[in-house]
Amino acid sequence: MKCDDYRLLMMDALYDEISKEDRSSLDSHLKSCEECRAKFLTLQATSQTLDKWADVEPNVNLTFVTQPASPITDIVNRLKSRKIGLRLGIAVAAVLLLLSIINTRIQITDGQFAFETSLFRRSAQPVATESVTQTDLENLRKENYQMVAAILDEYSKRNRIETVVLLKEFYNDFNQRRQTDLKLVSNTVEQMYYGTEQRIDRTDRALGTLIQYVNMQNQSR
Amino acid sequence: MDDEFLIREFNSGSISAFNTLVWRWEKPIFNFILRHIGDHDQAKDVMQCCFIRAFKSLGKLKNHARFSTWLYQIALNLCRDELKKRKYLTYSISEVRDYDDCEEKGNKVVIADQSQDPTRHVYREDLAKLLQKALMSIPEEQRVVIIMKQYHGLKFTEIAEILKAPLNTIKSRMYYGLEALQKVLNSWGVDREDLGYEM
Repeated sequence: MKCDDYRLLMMDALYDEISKEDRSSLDSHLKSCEECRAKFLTLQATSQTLDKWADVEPNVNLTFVTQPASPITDIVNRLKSRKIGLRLGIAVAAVLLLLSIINTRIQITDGQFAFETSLFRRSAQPVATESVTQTDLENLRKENYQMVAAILDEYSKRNRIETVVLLKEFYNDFNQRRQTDLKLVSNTVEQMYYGTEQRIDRTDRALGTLIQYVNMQNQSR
Repeated sequence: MDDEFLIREFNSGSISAFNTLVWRWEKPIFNFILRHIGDHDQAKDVMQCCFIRAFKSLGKLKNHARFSTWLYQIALNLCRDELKKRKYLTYSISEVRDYDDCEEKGNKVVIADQSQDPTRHVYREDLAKLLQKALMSIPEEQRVVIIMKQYHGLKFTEIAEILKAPLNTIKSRMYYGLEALQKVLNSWGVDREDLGYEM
């Protein structure tokens, strides 16, 4: 073995994945080859250097939760997981193909070839096409005019009704407010009246007391 | 409860079984992504995408014993998508000289001594940044093998399975990856003493 061949064995030895036979072979080579021995020691040192880089905590709170799946998602998932979707698709395609074959019509008339296919059977009788006359157009225009007029009329009526309702609401509201204001004025006037009456009573009493006092003073003189 | 049991439970409709798998695997997967793409915030986003993808397709996993390699495969694909998306440029050695926390003294990169410690050992955060830059500077195919082997303890056969590459190719990538890393660190003037080894 050449020196280059021992490189792989050095890796095995460095990470304890070497067999006993290979280990003794490597050891005997390292004893005799100074260059390889130096290389092996350097690699060991590098590996030890790398070991000094400790793992770090990710500090991520990664938690998985299940969400209640909607019925549609559930069905879709089931179809996906059981390959029912593929089978269903094939079945639908087969039915459509069958229908189109059943409803295929081939006609050869006067040497002309006609081929028609559809999923559903077409009615044998062709649909009669109606010709539109000037009168029909006139009638249609009239109908449209009447319809628009009716719509406008309805709209106008509704506006009128809405205005009346609004006026009534305004009147009621105004009336309520007036009554409230009147009550408020009445209460205030009453309070003022009672207040004034009380004050007059108090003044009367004070005057009476004063007159009594003056009389008593006069009598004592 | 091993992974296989939890997967069976999840397939029977238990969401909490999947959450247990997430709880069990989020740290290794996050660190795998972080070391691969080198950006903390993006690593979080990619990790979330990884578990969402796993959630959606776990039912299709036939060999439950392969769960971990399958999960790493998803994470790796997402990392590669992410790197393609942002057209990630690997750091060249000259760019590393602009390293924020370092100042260049001659040809030696000196790590800023944030703790005012008289010894000039590289501190944990600085070391992580330094090794991240170093990893980002080597080819992606070597980086991924180193991350899987060094930090996640995957066997070479498992790595070969995930990367769909021959076993000897994987070992070879590991060898040249380690060699390249050592060269990068040497070029920055980072020696074993800086890294806190007893010399």
